[in-house]
Amino acid sequence: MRIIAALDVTRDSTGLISIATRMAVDIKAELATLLVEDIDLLRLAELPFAREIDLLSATEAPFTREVVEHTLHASSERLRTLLARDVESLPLLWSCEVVRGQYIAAALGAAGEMDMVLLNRSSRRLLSAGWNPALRPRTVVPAAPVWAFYDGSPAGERVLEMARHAARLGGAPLIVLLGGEATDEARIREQASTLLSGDRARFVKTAAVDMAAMAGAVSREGCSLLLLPRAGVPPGERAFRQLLEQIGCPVMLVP
Amino acid sequence: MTAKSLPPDRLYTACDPQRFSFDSTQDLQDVEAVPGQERALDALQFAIRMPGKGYNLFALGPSGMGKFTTIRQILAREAASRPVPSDWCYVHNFKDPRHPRALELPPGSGTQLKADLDQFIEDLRGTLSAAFESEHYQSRVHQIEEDAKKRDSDAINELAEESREQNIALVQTPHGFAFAPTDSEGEVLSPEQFEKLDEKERKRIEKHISELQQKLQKVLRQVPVWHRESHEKFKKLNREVAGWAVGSLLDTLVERYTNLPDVLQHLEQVRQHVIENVDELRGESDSSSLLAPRQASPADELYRVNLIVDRAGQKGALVIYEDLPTYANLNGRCEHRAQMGTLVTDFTMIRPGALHRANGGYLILDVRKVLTQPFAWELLKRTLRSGQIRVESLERTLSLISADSIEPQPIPLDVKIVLVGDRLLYYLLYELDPEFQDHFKVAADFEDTLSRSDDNEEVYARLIAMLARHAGVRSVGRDAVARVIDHCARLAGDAEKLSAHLGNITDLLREAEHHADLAAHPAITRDDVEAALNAQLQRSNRISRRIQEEIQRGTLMIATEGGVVGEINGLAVHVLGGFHFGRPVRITATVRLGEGEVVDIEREAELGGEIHSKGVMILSRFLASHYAAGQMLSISASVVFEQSYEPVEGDSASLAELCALLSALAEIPIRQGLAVTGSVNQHGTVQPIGGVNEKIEGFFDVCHARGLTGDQGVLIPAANVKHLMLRSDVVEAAADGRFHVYPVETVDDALELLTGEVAGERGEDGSFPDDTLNRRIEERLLDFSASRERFVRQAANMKSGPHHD
Repeated sequence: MRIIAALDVTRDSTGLISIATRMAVDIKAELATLLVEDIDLLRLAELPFAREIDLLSATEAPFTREVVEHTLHASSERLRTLLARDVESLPLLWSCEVVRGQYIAAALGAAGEMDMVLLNRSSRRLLSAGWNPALRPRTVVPAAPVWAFYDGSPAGERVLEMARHAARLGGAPLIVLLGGEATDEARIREQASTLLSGDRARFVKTAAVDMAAMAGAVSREGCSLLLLPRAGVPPGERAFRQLLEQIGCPVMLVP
Repeated sequence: MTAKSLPPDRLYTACDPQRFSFDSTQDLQDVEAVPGQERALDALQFAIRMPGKGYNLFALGPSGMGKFTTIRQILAREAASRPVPSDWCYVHNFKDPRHPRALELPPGSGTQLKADLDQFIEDLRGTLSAAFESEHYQSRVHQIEEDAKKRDSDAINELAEESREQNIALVQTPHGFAFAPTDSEGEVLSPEQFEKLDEKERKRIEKHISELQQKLQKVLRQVPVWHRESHEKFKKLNREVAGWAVGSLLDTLVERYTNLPDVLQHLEQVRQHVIENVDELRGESDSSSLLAPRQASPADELYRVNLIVDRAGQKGALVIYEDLPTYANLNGRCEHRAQMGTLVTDFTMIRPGALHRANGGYLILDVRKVLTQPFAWELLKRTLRSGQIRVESLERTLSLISADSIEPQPIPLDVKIVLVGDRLLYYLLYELDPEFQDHFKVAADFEDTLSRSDDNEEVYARLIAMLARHAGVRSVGRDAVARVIDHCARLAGDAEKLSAHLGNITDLLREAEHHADLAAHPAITRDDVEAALNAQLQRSNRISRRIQEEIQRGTLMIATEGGVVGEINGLAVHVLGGFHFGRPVRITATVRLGEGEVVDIEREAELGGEIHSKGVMILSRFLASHYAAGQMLSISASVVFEQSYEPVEGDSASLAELCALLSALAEIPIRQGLAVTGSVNQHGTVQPIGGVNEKIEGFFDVCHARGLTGDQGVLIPAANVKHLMLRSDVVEAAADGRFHVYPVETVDDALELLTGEVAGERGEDGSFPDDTLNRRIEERLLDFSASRERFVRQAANMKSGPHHD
C-alpha cells in the first residue's frame, strides 16, 4: 500500500505533511512525497507583461522565469528538509521526488492503480490567520470533522475504512456523505453503519460525487480531511480543482 | 599629733541582715523601677509622652546597668496602652511599576486582603477560561472570523470573477498574485498562444490586466485596514468578556473594602489591567517567549499583595529591639533574583526592616552597633529627618551594582527611637554630629551608683530578688542578700554607695547558685555568695598573684620591716580585664646641692603621665614654699618608681614621693612596714585618691605572706575612709592589731607616722621647734643654700681675680 502525497511547493503544505505521515504510519503504508513545481507559473512568467502583485506590500514587480525558477527551487529544498526532519524518526518507508507539471495531473500521473493520493491546494486568503494574532483560535477547538464519500461501492468501502483511521487518528468526528440513488439511501446508510463497526458517524445525503455540493457542505461545517473514491474524480476536471481551492483542507483519493 | 589607726568598723560597712524582715528573696516583691534611676526614668517618660519631631531618647550609662531591661519594661507597658498600628503592604503600581504602591490597612486586615487577592488570582484563570470557552464567546468569535473571511473571499472572488469574464485568470504566485490570459477552458495561455493573438486582442488583454492589477493593488492596500478592524473587534470582544469575568470576582471584594479608598483604587486598577491584558493572562500572548521580559505569568505576581507589616492578633504597639542594626535590617531591602543572567526585582521582593515593624511603637537600638554598621547611622538620621521609611537598596545608593531596581513608595514613620549606649558615645555624638541634637533631644543618664541608706538597702534587696527571678535563680537567703549588698558597695568603691551595675549582680547570683547546687542548698546562702566571689577572684588574679610571688621571692624588692632613709612603699592599682588589684611600689628619693630642681625620673624617661608630672611639680612647690621660704631652694632632688617598666599615671603617689624626699632631706629613716597612698596639694594637705581598697589589700597581702608584725599598715587620705570596704581578712587583722589603716590629713601627719618623730609647727618666731622633723629639713635646706652662696661667691672671686687694697 502506498500513499502519494502531492505538495505544491509554492503553497502551505504543513497540514498535508502531517496527515500523510500519520496515516502512512497508522496503516503501515509507504509514503511517496511528490513536490510539484507548477508549470503554469513558468508559462505565466514567460508572458511579456507578466507582473506579480506582492501580497504584503501590494507593490508590482516583474514576474520573470528566473524569479520563478529560483523560488520553485528554494521552496522545493525547504519542503524536502522539512519532510526529512518530520519523517526520519518515524517507522516509515519514505521517498521524495520533485516533478514539474500541473498539480493535479502530476499527482494522479505519478500514482499507480492502487495508490492513495493526498492533495491540498487551498487558495490563498488575504486575511490568513497567521497574519493577525487576534484572529488566532482563542481556545482549543474540537478537531474539524473528517468527511468521507460512500456510495455502497467497493471503492466506497475502502474510503470508509480510511476515513475511520483518519477520524480516530485526529480524534475528529466522522461525517459520511451518502451517494447513490435516493431510494437506496437507507440501504447504503445501513451498509456504512455496518462497515463502521460501531464508530460513530453522521450521515449526509449527497448526489453522486457532486463537487460543488460537497464543497458547499464541507466549507460550511469545516473539514480536516475529505476522502473520495479516486474513480469518481476525473483528472483535470475543473470542478475538482475548484473544490481543492475552496475547501481549504487536504483531499485523499482512495482507489 | 600622730594619727590613730582606724577601728575595724570603719574599714568595712556591713549590711546587717538582721534588719531585714524577710527570710529570703521569695518573700520580696519586684521593684517597680530600678532604684536610684529616677532622673533617667523621668527623662524616659518625658520622651515617651512628648509629641513632636526629634523627641527620641538616648539612654546613656555604662553597660550592665540594666538600662535595656528597664527601658524595655517601661516601653512595653506604654506600648500596650497604645492603639495597634496599621498593617502595611506593597502592591504593584500599574501606572509606574518602578514605584510600587504602599497601602495602609486597619490592623489585621492585611492578611485578609492578601488572602482575598491570592484567591482572586487562583480563581481568575478558571473564570477567564470558562468565559472564553463559553458558547457565547465562541459564537461571537466565529462571527468575527466569518465576517473577516467573507470580506477576504468576496474581495478576491469579485476580482477573480471580473477577470474571468474577460478570459483572464487570477493566478496565485509564490509571493502574491498575477493575472494571466486564459483560453475558453480557463487554462493559462502559453507565450506562443498569446503571440498568435492579433495585435488588437493582445492590447485589449494587456489593458484589462493592467486595470485588474490596479484593482488588486487597491484591495491589497485595504488589507492592513481590515486587519486593524478585525483586531479591534476581537479586542473589544475580549475586553467585554474579560470585564464581565473579572467583575464577577472583584465585585465582592469591592464591597468588602468599600471603606478603604486606596484598596478600592488598587482593585479598580487590577480590573483594568486584567481587561487590558487578558490575552497575556490566558497565555495567548507572544510575551511567553524566552526573550520576552520577565513576568511570564503576570497574574501570579502583579495582583499579589506583599504584606510587609502584619498586626493580626497584636495587642497595642510593639517594642522592637534590633540586635543587628545593619542598613538592610533597619530599613528593609529589595531582594533580587537571577533571571536570564541579570538580577531583577519587583514589589513582591520588598522585605521589611525593624523600622517597619516598630512603626507606631518603639525601636530600641544599641548605638555602638548602629555606628559600627556601614551607613546605618546616616540612614537612621535620614529617616528621622524625612519622617518616612524609604526602602532603598544600599548597593544602588552606592552605585555598586546596576541591577534592575525599584523605588517603593515611602511609608510614613511614627516611631520613638531609643538609643542605648555609653556616655562617651553620647558626648562624642553631641559634639561632633550637628544633627544628633535635632533627632535625640532627650537624654536619660543612668546613674552608676545609688546612695546606700537603710531604705535603699531594703529596695536593693527587692532589686536582688527581682534579678534573681528574672535570671531564673533560686531564692536568695537574707544573709546572702546582705553579702551581695556589701559586694555592691565594694563594686561602687564606696561604703556609702551601691553599684547600679545590675549585670554584675545577676552574674554573681547565677554563680552563687552554682555553688548552692554543689552544696545542695535550697536557697542561696552567704557562703555560696562568698564562694562565688572567691571563685571570681581566683579566675581573675593570675597577674596579681605573680606579682605577689615575685615580691616574696625578692625579685620585686619591697621592704616591710625596718627603716630606710629616702625610700618608701607607694601603692599602685592595676586594671586588667575588668579586675582591679593593688600592689606596693618602691619609691626612692635622693637630694644633693643644686639649683632647686626636683627631677621626676619617670617623666624624664617618658614613662610618667601628665597628671603624675603635675603631682611632682606640686610637691616641689610645697617644698620650696614650706621650708626656708626666704632662701633660694638649692637642692637637686630626684624621685623614681623603682623596678617600674611601664607608664605611670595619676597623682596618688605624690604624698609618698614627698615623704621619701623629705626623709632624704632630713636623713631620717622611714618605717618600711608602712605604705602610703594619697595626693598632696601645695599646702601639704592630703587629698583623696581612687582604688583605696585594692591598694590596702595589695600591701596587706605582701605583709601577710611575710607574717604580720603588728607594725605594718597603710596611710590613706582621711577623705578616703568613707570608701573603705576591705576584705574580711584585712578587717580581722586590723581588729587583732596585726595591721593598721591610718587616715592622714596632712603631710605632717604622714611624716610623724612614717618616722616616729614629731613634725613640728612653726612657732611665733617663724621657726620650727628644735628636735622636730621639719626643723631638720629646713636646716638641711638652709645648709644647702649657704653652701650654694659660698660656691657662688668663690666663683665670682675667681672670675674677678686678686684684690689689692
